[in-house]
Amino acid sequence: MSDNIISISNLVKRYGDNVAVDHFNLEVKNGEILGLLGPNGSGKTTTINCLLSLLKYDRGDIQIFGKPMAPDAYDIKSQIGVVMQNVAVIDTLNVYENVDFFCGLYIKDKNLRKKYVEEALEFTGLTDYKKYKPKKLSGGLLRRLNIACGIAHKPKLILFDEPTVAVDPQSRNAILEGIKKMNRDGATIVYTSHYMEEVEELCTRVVIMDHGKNVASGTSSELKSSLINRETIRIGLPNKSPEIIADLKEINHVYKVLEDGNDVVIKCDGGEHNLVHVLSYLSDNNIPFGHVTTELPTLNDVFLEITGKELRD
Amino acid sequence: MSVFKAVFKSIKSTFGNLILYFAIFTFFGNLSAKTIATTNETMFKESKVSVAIINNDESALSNGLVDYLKETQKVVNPRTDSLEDINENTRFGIYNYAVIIPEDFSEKLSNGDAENALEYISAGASTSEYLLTQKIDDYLKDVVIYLECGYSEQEAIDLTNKQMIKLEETKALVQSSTEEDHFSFFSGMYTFNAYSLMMILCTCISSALLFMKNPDVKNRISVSGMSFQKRNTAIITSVLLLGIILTLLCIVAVHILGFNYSSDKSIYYIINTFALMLIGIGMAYLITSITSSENIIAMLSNMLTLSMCFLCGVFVSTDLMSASVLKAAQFLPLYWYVSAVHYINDTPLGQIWGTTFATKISIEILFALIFFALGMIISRKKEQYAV
Amino acid sequence: MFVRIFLYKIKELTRMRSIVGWNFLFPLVLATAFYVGFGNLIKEDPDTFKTIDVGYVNTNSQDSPFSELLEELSKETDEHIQVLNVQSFKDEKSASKAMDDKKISGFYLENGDKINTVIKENGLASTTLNQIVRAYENAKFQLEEITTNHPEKIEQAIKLQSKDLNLMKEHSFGNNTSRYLQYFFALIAMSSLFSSWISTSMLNGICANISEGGKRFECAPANKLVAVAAGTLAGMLIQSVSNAIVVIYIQYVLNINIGIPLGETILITTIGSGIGIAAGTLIGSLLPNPKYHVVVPLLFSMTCSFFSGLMWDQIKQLIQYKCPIINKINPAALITDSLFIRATYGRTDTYIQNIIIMLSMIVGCLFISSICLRRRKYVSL
Repeated sequence: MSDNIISISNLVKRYGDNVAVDHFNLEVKNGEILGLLGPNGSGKTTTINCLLSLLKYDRGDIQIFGKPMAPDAYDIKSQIGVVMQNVAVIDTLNVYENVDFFCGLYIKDKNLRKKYVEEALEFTGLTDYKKYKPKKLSGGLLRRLNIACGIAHKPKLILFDEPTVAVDPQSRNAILEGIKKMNRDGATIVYTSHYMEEVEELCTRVVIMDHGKNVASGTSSELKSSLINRETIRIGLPNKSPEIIADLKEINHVYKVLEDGNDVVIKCDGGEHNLVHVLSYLSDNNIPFGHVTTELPTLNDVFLEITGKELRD
Repeated sequence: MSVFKAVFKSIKSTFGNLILYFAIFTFFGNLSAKTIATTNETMFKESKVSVAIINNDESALSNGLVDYLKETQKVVNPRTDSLEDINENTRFGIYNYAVIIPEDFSEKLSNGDAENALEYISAGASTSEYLLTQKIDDYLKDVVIYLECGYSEQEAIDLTNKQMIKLEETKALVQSSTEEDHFSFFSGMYTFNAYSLMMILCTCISSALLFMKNPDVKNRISVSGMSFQKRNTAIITSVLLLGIILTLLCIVAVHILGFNYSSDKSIYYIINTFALMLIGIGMAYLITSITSSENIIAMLSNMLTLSMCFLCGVFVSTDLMSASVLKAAQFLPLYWYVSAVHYINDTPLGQIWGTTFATKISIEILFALIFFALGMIISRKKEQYAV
Repeated sequence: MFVRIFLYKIKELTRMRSIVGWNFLFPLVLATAFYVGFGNLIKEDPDTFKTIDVGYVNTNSQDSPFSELLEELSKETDEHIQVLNVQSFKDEKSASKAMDDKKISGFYLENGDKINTVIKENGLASTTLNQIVRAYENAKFQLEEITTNHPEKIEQAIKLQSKDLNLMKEHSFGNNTSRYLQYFFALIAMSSLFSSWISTSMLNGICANISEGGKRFECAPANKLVAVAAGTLAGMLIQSVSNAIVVIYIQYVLNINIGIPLGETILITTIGSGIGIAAGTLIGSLLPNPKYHVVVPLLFSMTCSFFSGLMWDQIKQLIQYKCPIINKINPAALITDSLFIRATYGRTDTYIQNIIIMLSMIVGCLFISSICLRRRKYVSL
């Protein structure tokens, strides 16, 4: 039996002339946290909606838990939890009632449901806000409520569709920690976002989407190691000259030197101690320099290299 | 200029409602105004009662009666055989009277056993019922007496008809009456306008004010380079202009629908309507200060406007209301608007402009100011207590 | 599942301020306004005969048969009708002044054999005054005719003329419902149709193409049609309670006798609520955009209510006269008509027909809605 919880092959979804999802393939293994990364309009939410059988698609095959997904596949749906991009709660019900209502769509047993609801509220830090209506909650708490409604029934597969949009950093950290815990407890997670920092921190494997296509997939390290650029050093050099630039280019593993105002940006392809070599050159030649920063490559760099644009364009 | 334009664009969502109330105004207002309008006449004109006839006899005697009614009254098609439906038609004034001639009508008359020979249906003991019952009774009585006195059926019918024709010459004399003794079409339309214009104003002005109250819009404008004074001037100007446009639309509609009727008093009706416009704007401001929910605004607008219309003589004539209700209605702005319409109707042209008219208009404007002031107080208090 | 959703929908809907306002408060306020405005008209029918104030100037030196006739008409009849209230004036000028001052509608001027009727304006009152003179002259003409051609019958003719022959009889329907009660029935009909936005609100949390909550619902292993049925029933219950409150308020607080047993009134209004709910479900399923979910039901309710007589009681009957089919497809007119017929005539064929049409409308709307709502996959969200 396949270890894949989700298997999407050759998915195509068109909105008129616009191809939102273009022969997209995806496999999600049991127990992993898969990050679906891509800029706005890349087709992430459309893919999720097709996966959940909410959207009609033009072509493709979608299987969850080894079975074809359909709107009336209740046995599959009962094991899926969804945290929508937009807050999906009922405004006139309070926090407890919201979680109870949605949990009740999955769990018929009253006592078990009650236990799960209390646990979900505790998990998301909403126990003190049971009687509050959604209107009275802050943005962060509302997002937590959104999560609680999606995971209260302890699903095996959880889909998070950009759950931290417009959320304060404290709440965001709490959400990410919570997701990690759910994964440790056995849930497989698909996490879509355009925040690469979250995906890098959270996900065991990353799929990058652009224009509806799967443009790259692998672990963070695998994706970054595919880059030419392994380290970027930025130095403030007020007195730079063409000779200095040329000399810097000669340093081992430096493959590109760019000028950016008063700064010089040095890109290195691999190697260790690149910073030491550059600083040694400058001090040996009595070249004054200002601030120094060094950056390791990010997924944004991966995306930029593959597509020629930024993740947050 | 951008605030100004934005206010106008914000009412796009209310177009459906606007069209609905405008359609109601032009259709219902027109229909009801035409129904109640009376005109100045100097010659005696006999009031004809609209009567439906069901003739189950079809004899010479019954046809004689039918012919008499056709000549003297307004005979209409009953369009139903159901007595219940006929009753409803008379009760709701579709026609005033229905005559049901039974099968044995002529037999009864000929045999001299004429008691209850004819049945009729009418809406209660009204003047029209009395009048027509008397006329038919007089006609039948004539025929019966002639038959009893030895005349043949045909002779009886002919003589009775001859008499009725001769009696047509007996006419009342109409002493000169003025236009002020009648209720004009324009008075009817402008009375109905109280409902439709109020609803149109409440809906559209509330929508525009809500838009400006939206916190994001408000904040965005307040951090822009636009001064407080300039901003508020733009809002006030745009709301007033919106009100004026909507009011003018209604006024133009009245005069298009009433092109068959003349009115030298239009200017006074128009002044009164603009006073109503201020009331509508004031009320819209008050309602939007109470709530920001579009649903609740719509509900409050409908509730207040409809209730006022029923209490102030817009849908049901003030003649039919009790004195205590009318006294209490004086605390409602629409009472003064309707009162002004009636005043314009009942007063000769040269005498309208005076203290009475000015008082009524001033009271309407005062109500508008009160609504506005109340709205400001409520908004302030809400801000103070962060409600 | 059905019961859970039913109970939660009741909770959800009854906490919506707009629903409480529109569906519970608004009808009560309007009923009160109707009662204050014209409640008295229902108890005292304004279409009663109004005694005509008339003046009488007799330039002859003695009383005439006409003055005796006027005296007769000034007395109250067995039906408690006093036709005339006669005021005598010494001359035409004073009578004319009284007419200008609106103290009398007109006056009779008897000069020798001639009787002139002078009026201010045309109308029923003036026609009645004129008719009295005509009837008087008619009797004279008739006697002249019989004297000429059948003189042997003159005594009989005189006897018959002075006798009330009771030639006409008014058809009685037993229970006469005031036409002003129509306004209250139209109000109840309007209130019933307001339930249409209860169902559009209800659909909000069930359909993925309407709201995020609906999306979440459709991801769950829950049967959509069961949920819609539960929500529909919850809406109907809420509206039925609202209508029952309005009916009880009108009947027992405002003391206006509707003329129908309470149970049956509530049954008719419950069916009316069903139409509103079904219509709202249809609107919600055909127009998924939430911005139409209040405006369209409001337009629908108010338009139907206007044509059922909410603002102008005559309109429904006018439509019935000119184009009755419109009343048969207007749900507000059906509700109003059913109430009015039941109050006035009892359970007639038309009443049963109306009930059947209303039930068919409910079934039809729900059937079409279920076809639209069966869809679980959307082209776009």
